[in-house]
Amino acid sequence: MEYLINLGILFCIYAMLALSLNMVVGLSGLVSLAHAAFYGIGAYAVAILMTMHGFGFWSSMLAGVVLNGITAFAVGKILSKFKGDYYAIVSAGLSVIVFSVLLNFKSLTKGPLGIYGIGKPSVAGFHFSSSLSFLALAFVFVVLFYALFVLIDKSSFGRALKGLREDEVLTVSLGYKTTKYKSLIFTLSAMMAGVAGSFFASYIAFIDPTSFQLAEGIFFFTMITVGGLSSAFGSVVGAALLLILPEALRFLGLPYETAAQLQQLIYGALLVMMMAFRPQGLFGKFKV
Amino acid sequence: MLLVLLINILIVGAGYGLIAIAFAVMSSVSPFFNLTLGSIIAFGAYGTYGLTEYAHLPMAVAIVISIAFCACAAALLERFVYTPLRTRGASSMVLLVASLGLYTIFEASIHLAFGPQYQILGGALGQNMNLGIFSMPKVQFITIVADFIVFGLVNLLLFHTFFGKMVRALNDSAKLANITGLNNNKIILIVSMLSGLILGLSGVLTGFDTGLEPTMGFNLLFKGMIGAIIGGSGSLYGPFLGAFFLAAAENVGVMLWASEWRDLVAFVIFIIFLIFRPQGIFQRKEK
Amino acid sequence: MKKLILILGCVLALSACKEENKQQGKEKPVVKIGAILPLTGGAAALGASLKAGTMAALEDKEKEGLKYHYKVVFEDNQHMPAKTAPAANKLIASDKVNMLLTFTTGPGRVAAPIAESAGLLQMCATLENEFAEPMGKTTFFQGPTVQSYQRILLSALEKRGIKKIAMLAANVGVACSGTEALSKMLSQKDIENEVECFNPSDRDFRLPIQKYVKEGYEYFYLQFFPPQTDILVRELKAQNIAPEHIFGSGIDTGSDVSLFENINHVGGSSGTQAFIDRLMAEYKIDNVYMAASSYDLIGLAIDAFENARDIKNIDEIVAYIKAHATRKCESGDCRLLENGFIANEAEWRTYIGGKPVALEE
Repeated sequence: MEYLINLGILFCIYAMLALSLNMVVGLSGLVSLAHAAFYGIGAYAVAILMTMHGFGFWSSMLAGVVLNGITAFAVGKILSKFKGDYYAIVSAGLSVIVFSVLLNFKSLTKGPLGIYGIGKPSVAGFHFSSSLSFLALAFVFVVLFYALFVLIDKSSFGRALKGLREDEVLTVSLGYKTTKYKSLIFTLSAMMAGVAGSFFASYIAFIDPTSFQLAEGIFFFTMITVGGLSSAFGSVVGAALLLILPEALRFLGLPYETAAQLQQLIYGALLVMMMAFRPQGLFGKFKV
Repeated sequence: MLLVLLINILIVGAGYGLIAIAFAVMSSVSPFFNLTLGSIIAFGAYGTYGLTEYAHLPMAVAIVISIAFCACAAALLERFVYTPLRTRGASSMVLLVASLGLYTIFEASIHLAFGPQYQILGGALGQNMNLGIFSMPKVQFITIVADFIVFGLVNLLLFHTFFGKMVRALNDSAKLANITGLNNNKIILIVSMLSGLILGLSGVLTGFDTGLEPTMGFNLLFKGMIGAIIGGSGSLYGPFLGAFFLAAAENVGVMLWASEWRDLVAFVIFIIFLIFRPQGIFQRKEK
Repeated sequence: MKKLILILGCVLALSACKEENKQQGKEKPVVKIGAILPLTGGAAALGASLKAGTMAALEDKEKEGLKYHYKVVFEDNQHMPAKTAPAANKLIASDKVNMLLTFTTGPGRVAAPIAESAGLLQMCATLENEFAEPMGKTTFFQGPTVQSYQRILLSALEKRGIKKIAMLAANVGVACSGTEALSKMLSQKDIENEVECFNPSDRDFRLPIQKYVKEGYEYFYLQFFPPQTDILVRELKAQNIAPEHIFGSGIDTGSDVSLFENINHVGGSSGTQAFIDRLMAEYKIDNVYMAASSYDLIGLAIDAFENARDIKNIDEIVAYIKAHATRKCESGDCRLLENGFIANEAEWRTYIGGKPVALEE
């Protein structure tokens, strides 16, 4: 039971990430591989402020969200100059840059040593120290993000995003300031990823830069590509699927040394099959 | 110290240059960020390793077979994966993601087949050679020579032969090229094989220099791509010189600060270039 | 598509509710050890040596006759703390392990609260030191002390009359910070040095090495994981640095044993010469860097289980370990400290004929 609760918490964190990324990739057609960076910034904000400066979880998370917002706004301006696969490569480059900073800016982040002893959140005196309560809290946020996604999807803002996704030139000619919209959704998405990172830091209680490399961003991207682009349900399904896969593999009794590689094989095969037969993903509404 | 810096830029830039040229060549007929090109680098290295270690073939034979295999692999992937996807209307994003999936599969397969252990191709190529003022392992010298030769030959091929004209026509507009009677598929085949060959060579040389590991393709390809983009397309001088420029940026960064910031410097330069001079340094004609 | 998800969901639910495996050995109850080790990735060689040490400990204890039958279940965390949590959860919930074994404080600290809330023992083989924060109420960690590292390195350098050494380390775990600490100590003893740390993906060491050579450094201290270990040692030799001028911690975890011939290896917990020879022969491993640590930790844990009236009573287990951890162990003299750290001595070795040979301090 404890095992399922822990799995559930990880699912919530990845679902939050998937939903945030899908807003940028699915709704707006911007292929960002930079979300591992925002995830990392959110995690480190909580880690640093809580363990070294005595802040509480919520204020630390807020600080992380704000930092992500500012970073995303600046970064988004640079990214908006690029299209399609160039956007992807530049965003990948940004992910590498942030990782480099997390790893080498030792006075701030302690570098490869990592930060341990990260506490859990409290609300009105109630401390979320049990995994069940933590799961419940995380789940609340998943529901919030899900609702936010659906809200934006159905709003005129969402329509504008989908418009610029399908045909940016046309959308601009209709009078929409597409750069503003792209910037807005990217910033919002980054802030959400920061929330997920904050939960991750608090849950695992120890973080180091290795959890926030480019490979992680590619993993998030795989989640939504498989689950379904531009779909809230697809995001959640993708997160669940890719989380369950390594766990299911564990139980097959494969030789320990090969388990990690077989997992990679399956991820790769999923991506290829999706692109070949169903580029919008299982429940998606948009093809890259 | 300056001499040392210049020589290192030469060595590193030549290494990146081979990949940059191969990437540029491939992009001329199949324009997208093809991550399986990284796998082909690994195939070159691991093929040679496997053939010498397990099939006990002589080194030279193993190298030739390996590189030939890489050429074929590149052609097959293009012919049976990317061209069909593109024909079905796939965007370059879909191709990128598909290539990511394939790269992941290949990397995991190499890992399963050969183990995670780091290997190195042995033999005389690792030995130092003395060139008067400095010495370097033979393989590094060979890499520099190979880079220049490959550049020279490919430049000749692409810009001074009729075949090259056909390739550039295809690059400009595939539809038009087809209409005017060019055999697109054949051209694509030959160009992919050429690209694969160069990548295989790069893999082999890397195998002798810094060894083999299952993840070797990704980082090398990235560096090569950055070099090619910084250098600019439209002329082969772009990737060739862009690779040296990237190597210079990295190494100056290492000299002035510390090695920790090497990747950061490389990517920051890359992004600055893309913002302010997206056509690259050596753009010859407008794209 | 929905069916696929449903099926995967059922597989998972069933597995989580799976009953414990049938008992091995009809009479003896089974005690399971969950070992979360880097079986793949850059630290794979270390994982292999820890695995060998664990199995050797089991083998030796079994010869003495045991109340329980001990079984080890391995999980691969690729030396990443984030992957340690799901592994620990699975071992505890599904395999119903009675204790955890981990490597280095990163994964150790992630697993500590998980072990503690499950009321289980955790033993962690580390390169951490005597000044570290305690890891948890039910966690003990073992490794060579900083003081013994420093003493050994200093002795090795002073014996050679070395006054200037370049120190290169990887930006992984405690490698860089540990090297920086060593650097401070050496500076206090008037040994000129400089520290540079490298990213794990860095493969190009030519320029940095030449930088130091030009500045007059003839001696190098290294602390890396493979494949950087191999590449760096090769590059040093290519630039005509003699193996005797190379010092390092963990350099013998590289993939090619022939590279380490005559190199000075400082630190680790490899055990006595006899232990090393036996492990290399029996378990076919090339390096034994932390093998003695896991051997000692597992041996101690088994003793605790054997002597407990109730193996599920964690307080009893912890009390036993606290009482008996200070002893003569394979890694040298073991001493339990306040923070739960079992300190042992570092060592100075070189390689002759492909085998580690102890050097006099």
